[in-house]
Amino acid sequence: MLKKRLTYVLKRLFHAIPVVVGIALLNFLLVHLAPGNPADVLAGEAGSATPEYMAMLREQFGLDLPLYVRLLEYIGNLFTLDLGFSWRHNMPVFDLIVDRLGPTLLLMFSALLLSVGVGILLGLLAATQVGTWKDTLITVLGIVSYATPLFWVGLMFILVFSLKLDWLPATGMENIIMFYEGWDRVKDIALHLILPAATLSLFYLALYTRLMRASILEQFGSDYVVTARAKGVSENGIMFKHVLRNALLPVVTMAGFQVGAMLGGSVVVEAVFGWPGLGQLAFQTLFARDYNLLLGIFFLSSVLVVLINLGVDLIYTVLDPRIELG
Amino acid sequence: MSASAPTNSLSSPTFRNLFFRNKGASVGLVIFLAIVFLAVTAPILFPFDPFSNVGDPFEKPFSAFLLGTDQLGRDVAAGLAHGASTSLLLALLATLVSLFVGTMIGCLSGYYGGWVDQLLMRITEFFQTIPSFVFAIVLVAIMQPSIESIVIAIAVVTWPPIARLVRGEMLAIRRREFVEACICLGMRDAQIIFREILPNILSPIIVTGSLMVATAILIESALAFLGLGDPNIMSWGFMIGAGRSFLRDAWWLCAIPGLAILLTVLSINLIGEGLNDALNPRLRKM
Repeated sequence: MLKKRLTYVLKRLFHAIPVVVGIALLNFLLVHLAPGNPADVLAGEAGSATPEYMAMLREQFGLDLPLYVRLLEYIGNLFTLDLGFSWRHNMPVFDLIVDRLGPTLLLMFSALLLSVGVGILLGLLAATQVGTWKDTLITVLGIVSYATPLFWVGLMFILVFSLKLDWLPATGMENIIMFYEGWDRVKDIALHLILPAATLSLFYLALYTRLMRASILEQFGSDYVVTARAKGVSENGIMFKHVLRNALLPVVTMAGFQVGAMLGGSVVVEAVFGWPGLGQLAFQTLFARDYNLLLGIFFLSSVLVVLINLGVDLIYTVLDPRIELG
Repeated sequence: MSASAPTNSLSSPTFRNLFFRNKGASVGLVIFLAIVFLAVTAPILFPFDPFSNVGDPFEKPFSAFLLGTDQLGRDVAAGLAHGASTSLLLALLATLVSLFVGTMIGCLSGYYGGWVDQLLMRITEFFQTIPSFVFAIVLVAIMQPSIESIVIAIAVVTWPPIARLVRGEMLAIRRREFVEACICLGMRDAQIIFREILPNILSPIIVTGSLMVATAILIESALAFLGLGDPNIMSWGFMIGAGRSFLRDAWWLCAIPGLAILLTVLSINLIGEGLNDALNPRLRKM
C-alpha cells in the first residue's frame, strides 16, 4: 500500500511538471508584453540618457541577446529560483517574495480553517433543519455573501469594528512600536488577523455551507442510510457516524481547489488591511510598475497552487480509500 | 427523433411560469431592471462628466446632493449612475468573449475527442490551475488599464468552466442518433456542431453565462478598486478605492457604490437561479 501511494505521489509530481513549465513560458511571454523594458524605465527616471548609457543598460539586462537564448536562460533561472531582480526594491525578487510569504500563508490558512469549519457547522445546521427559518436565514445569508465584493466587506468591517466601535486594529499585522515578545506578540498578531481572515473567509464560508448542506441532503437519500435506519441506528448516529464523513468529501475537495482563488482574494484583502504579505507586495508593484516583481509573485503563487493541489490529492486518497491509486 | 428543437425555448409560456415561480428570480429581475434603467438614463439624469466637481467636497447624502459628494466635490449619485453602465457593459462584453472562447474550445474538444480533446483539456486545466485573480491583475497591469485589457483579462480567467461544461454536454450528445444521421447526410462538421448540436445545449450555457456576468462584475470592481480600472471611465470600484482614505468621516463614499455592486451581483445571481429553474427543470434543486 505504501509503495502504491509513493508511485501515485511520483506520478502526480510528474504531471505537475508540464504545468510548471507552462507557467514559466506564460511568464516569459508576459515579460515581453510588458511595456517599457527596465532599461527604458530606469533611463527615463534618470532624466538624461545618452545612447551609450542605454546600450550599457541593455547589455546589463541582457536585452541585446536573441529571444530563444533569453527564453532558455529565463527558464533555467526560474528553476534555480532566480526570479530576477527588483530594481525598485534593489533586492532579488525571490528574497522579497519569501519575506512576504509567511503573512500571506498565515492569512490564507486562517481563512481556510474559518471558512471550512464554520461552513461545515452551518451546513450541518441547515441540513438538519431543512425548511425552517434557520435554514432559510442561512441560505439568504449565503446568497448575500456570494454577491458581496471582498474589498468592500473589508472596508465596512474596518468602518464598524475599528473606526466606530474601536474593538479591533484596522491595518497591519502587528503593533511594531510596542515591541511585543512571546505570547503578547502572538496575541497582538491574532487581534490583527481577525478582520482580514473574516473578510477573506466570507465568500468561501457561504460556498462551503451551501455545499455541505447539499452534500448531507444527498447522502441522506442513499441506501446505506435506509439500511442504518432499518437496523435501528438513531438519527444522530446516522448523521455523525455515517453521513457526516461521506458528506465532508466534496467540501474538502472544493476547499483544496479553491486555494488558488483564495490567493487572488488575499491580494485584495491585504491591500485593504495593509497586511504585509504577497498581495500587498503585488499591490505596491502596480504603482511602481515593477513588472519583474509582479511576474515573480505570479509565478511563485502559481507554483504554490500546483503544490497545494497535489497535497489535496494526497489527503483525498487518505480520506476516501475508494480512489484508485493506480 | 427530431434533429434539434430544444424542449424549452425562451418564448414558451412554461418558461415564464417556471421563472416567475422562483420568487428570488422575480425580485432579482426587478432590481436588475432598475439598475439597467439607471445605467441607460445616466446621460439624461446627469448630463455632465462624472469626474467633474459640481459642489463642495464632503457634502452629506440627502443634503444638497442626493447621495452627497466626494473629496473633490464630485456628485456620488452621478458616479453611481455612470458607473452602472460601466460595470454592466464591461461585464457583458467580457462574458460574451468568454462564452465564445469557452464554447469554441468545449465544442472542438467534445466533438472531435482524441488528441484534440487531450490537448485542449490540458490547456483548460492549466488555466484553471493558475490563480485567476492574480492572473487578471498581471494581464491588466501589463496591457495597461483600458476597456479592452479589462475585458480580455476577465475573459481569459473565466472561460475554462464554460469549456468544460460545453465539452461535457457535447460528449453526451455526440453519440446520439441524430448526430449520426447528420453525418450520414454528409453535413459538414461545422454545420453539425453549430446548427444541430449547439442549440440543444444552449440552456446550460445561458444559465452559466448569466452567473458569469455577476462574477465579471465582481472581478471588474476589484480591479478598479486596486487602481486597474480604465482611468477615463467612472466605475464603482474606482469610487470605493478613491473614497477609502476618507472612511472615518465620509463613509458613504465607500458604502454606497459597494451596495450598488452588491445589489447588481445579487440580482444577476437570482436571475441565474431562476433561469436554471426554467431552462433545466430536471436539474432543479430540492
